[in-house]
Amino acid sequence: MKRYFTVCLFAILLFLTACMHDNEMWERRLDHYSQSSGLFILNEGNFMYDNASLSYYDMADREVTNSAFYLTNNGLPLGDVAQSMTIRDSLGYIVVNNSGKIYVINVNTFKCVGKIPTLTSPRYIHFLDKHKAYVTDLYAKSIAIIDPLGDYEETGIVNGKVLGHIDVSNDGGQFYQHPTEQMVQYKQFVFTNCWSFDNKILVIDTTKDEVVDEIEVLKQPTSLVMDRFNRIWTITDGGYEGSAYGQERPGLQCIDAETRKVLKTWRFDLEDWPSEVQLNGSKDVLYFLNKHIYRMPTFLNADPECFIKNPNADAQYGGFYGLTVDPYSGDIYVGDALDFQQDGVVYRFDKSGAPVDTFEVEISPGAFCFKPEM
Amino acid sequence: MKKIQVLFVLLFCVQLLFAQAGVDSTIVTGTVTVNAKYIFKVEEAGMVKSDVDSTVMTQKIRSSLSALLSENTPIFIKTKGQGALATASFRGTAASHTQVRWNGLNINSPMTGMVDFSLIPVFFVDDVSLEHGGSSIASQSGGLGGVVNLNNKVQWNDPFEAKYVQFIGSYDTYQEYGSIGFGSNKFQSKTRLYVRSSENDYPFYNMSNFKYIDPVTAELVYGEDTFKNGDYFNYGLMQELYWRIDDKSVLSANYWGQRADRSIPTVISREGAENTNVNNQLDDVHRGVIQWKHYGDISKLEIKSGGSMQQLDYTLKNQVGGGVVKDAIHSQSKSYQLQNSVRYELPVYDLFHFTGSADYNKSWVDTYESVRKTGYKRDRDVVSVYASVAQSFGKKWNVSAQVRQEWQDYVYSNPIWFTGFDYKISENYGLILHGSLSKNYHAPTLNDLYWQPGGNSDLKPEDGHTAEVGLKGILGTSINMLKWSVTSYYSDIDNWIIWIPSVRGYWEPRNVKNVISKGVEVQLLWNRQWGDLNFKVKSNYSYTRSINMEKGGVFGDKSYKKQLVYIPIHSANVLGTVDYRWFNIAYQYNYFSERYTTTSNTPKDRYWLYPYHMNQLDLGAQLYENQDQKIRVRFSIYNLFDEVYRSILSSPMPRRNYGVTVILNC
Repeated sequence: MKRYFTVCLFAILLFLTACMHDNEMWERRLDHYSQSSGLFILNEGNFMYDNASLSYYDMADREVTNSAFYLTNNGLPLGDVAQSMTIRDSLGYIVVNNSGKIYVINVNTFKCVGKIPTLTSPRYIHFLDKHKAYVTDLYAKSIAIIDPLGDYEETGIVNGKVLGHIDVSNDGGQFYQHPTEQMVQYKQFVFTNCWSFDNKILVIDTTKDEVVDEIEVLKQPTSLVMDRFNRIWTITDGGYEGSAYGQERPGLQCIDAETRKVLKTWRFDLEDWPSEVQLNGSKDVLYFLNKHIYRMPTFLNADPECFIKNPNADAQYGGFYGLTVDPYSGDIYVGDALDFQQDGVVYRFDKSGAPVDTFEVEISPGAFCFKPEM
Repeated sequence: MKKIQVLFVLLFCVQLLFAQAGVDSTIVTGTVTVNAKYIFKVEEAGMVKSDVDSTVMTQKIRSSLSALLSENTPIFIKTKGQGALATASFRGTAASHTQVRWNGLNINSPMTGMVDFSLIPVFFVDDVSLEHGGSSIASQSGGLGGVVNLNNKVQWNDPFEAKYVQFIGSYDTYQEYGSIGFGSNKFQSKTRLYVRSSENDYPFYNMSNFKYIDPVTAELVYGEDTFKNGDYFNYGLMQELYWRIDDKSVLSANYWGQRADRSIPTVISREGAENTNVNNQLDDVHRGVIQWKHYGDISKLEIKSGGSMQQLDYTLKNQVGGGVVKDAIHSQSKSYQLQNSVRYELPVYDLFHFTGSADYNKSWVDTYESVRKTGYKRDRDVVSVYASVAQSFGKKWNVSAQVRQEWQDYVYSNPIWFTGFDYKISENYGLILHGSLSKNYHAPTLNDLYWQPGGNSDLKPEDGHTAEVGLKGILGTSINMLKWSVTSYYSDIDNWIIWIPSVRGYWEPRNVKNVISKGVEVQLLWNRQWGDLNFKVKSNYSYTRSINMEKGGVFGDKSYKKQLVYIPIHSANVLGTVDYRWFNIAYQYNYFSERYTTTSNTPKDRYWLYPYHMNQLDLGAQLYENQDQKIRVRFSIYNLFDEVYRSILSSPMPRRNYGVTVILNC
């Protein structure tokens, strides 16, 4: 009996080696270089799963590269909940919400050239000049002022820093306000919408880095654009049934950036859930989602029309999720996250609404960013 | 290397099995031969039940129930590691489909329907048994996967008994358990206490964050990191009182209270500002049950009344301007339950068995999130009546039929039922063929119905039909016993509820899926004694296919006929123990095949989890023994092969780590 016992002990010592190769995934490489125009698709991933990802679509060849960031950066995951991406010069700034940071990539190679950490719950970035940008935030009750470049021009590495904060807290309010979101700029003023449990568009004077005014809009403005006539358009979701903040019919509102007055409001039905207001390249046609894709010219006497119907609108799950319009061709791209637990799909239509292409991306395609030819 | 390791473990088992042949001559006189009567019971006709062996309970005395179930039963536990939320998947079902009962009191949260097994110390339980699949309707509805029964047992003959267990482990892990029992054969009291804490701050190589970019090569440079916010501090008290009123009646009262205060880790890619995204969860639980058992000449009557209070506080804090720390989320959820039951059993020799029971349960939930000022306040009444008859036909057949009827908030639901048989193939080899058909259902939880936002009051109950067939056997003697079972099952579950994000930006539950859950469970227990040497091998293997059969009807959807997320197709565990006089060795091996995290089962390595092989070695010694007084010490090596692994996405687990346990008995 002792013999067997000794054999067992010996075997344990002999095989004292790991056999789970979880780290194999880190050895991934893709070399990419292209100066041509394209479309970045941000796949949000699932909250707390660290599985956000970046896809890239070559519009001319109709080729998609999934996991673009992961593959070109030796298996580095993009992080948790990719929120938005903005390009300035040849650098792409990817705001990763629950990772509390912004990754900076070279948009021609997808290689990570730096990061801007120490944010709270970042949402969007807006550039003021080479060394100054604002980053809105869901929970910080402030907008971060950052240096988005650092000494990149000398070193080729972005070591971005938070330089300061613009206080946007509304501590006298009944709810956790203000959670800032998208930004547009008119003259020296940046306008930002406050979505969750809020109904304000804040006005920040970039020369003072202070909130100087606020515009009251309908409940929960989800998104913000500014048209060619310097009019700001926002779309509100109206809150949800049972919310302590209340629920109202969602709306589309047009605001004069100069006078900061609401010029006109279009209302939807209570059960509607409009979102993702976007503009075409000449900034005179507005698009948004409300189960289907709607559009309207940016005229006050116009009304939204259903432009592209979603054939899956009544399915158990799935539906149009992220939306963008190619500023050059006018093509429309819309994401479908399906059940949010598998790779999503992006549909491409031309400006007349005719289908052009369909391609698979990754989990929860929620935001887009066009890359111009460099 | 993986194959070699699996081979090694199999070899280990085979060696143990063949080992018996060489020493069969050392038969000890006075042993008892085991045969079919141990597993051929009329009242369990067709039912699949299993229990956790007492040796295993002793071996895992300082563990949480999550580790015990994961390592020693067919149940798969999904967890981020010690101290973190641990939920069960029994036969490939959802966490709320495993019902857990403590001394007959259901302890699933009425809010979520789940149990966090990391919060149940094995030290507080004397007996763990499982009712698989349809067999669980004997206890209650809702166990589409099954029921886990946790019981405390009284020792009438112990005038005094005390136990103290101390564990010191890596990452500042400290655990203290103590119990004291006293009484006579008329009255017994037992008090148990525990305190456990850990910083849980293990090092790991963080590939989700680079440290810096090399200025020369432009390569990303990674490095070691420390797991943050995995700390916990738990303590609890259990009090049991038993009073033997007369020869036929026993009155008992049990109380279990505990508090668990724990941080919730952020994702490992996080590089946010300091003092932001700070998560904390506080669980307070108080449970009590009073039972009166009356034993007639042949019958048994049991009247039980119990209650529980659970409070769960969750906060998400961020430091905002001026250094002020603000709650971004602060939810407080209270739930209360009252459970009452009467149960009557009438066995007539081994030929016939009748059981009837009636239950009335009421739950209240009051949840409020003070930042968004949202919540709900609801209650639910459930009346349940149950009857079972089992009959023996000849010496070879046992047949049973059970039916349970419930009224949820006084609304009649379709009856659920179970019918099964046992057929004795061989008395001497203890070989039994068994089979059953059953219908079960699981009502939506109160969160499913009323959570703000997203609760869906139109949800239908999840309905399951199950067919099972299997073989089980027992043979040998009390010193050389082999007990085994093989069961295959097929369940068709309709109206499966999942929470999915809606276009409105919040999650909402829907009766989306039809799920086929089918598989095979194999259990093996072999025990062999040669004088002072005692071998024991306990092993489980499960083949689980839990497949989504709903087409969804959306272009691009690839979830049809795919395995549900996080459910391994193959899982196995082996615990081998060797006791020789004062010395003890235990070897624990656990295996799960790959787990997908996408409903489409995307094989991309970013989305799936590598097959899991985990090994643990315990070396124990009895340092002192004098009558009932014993001092034992055990040295444990966890993650023996120093694996780098994640149990769920974005959750690196600790590398090889160690612990010492000291056990004092008197």
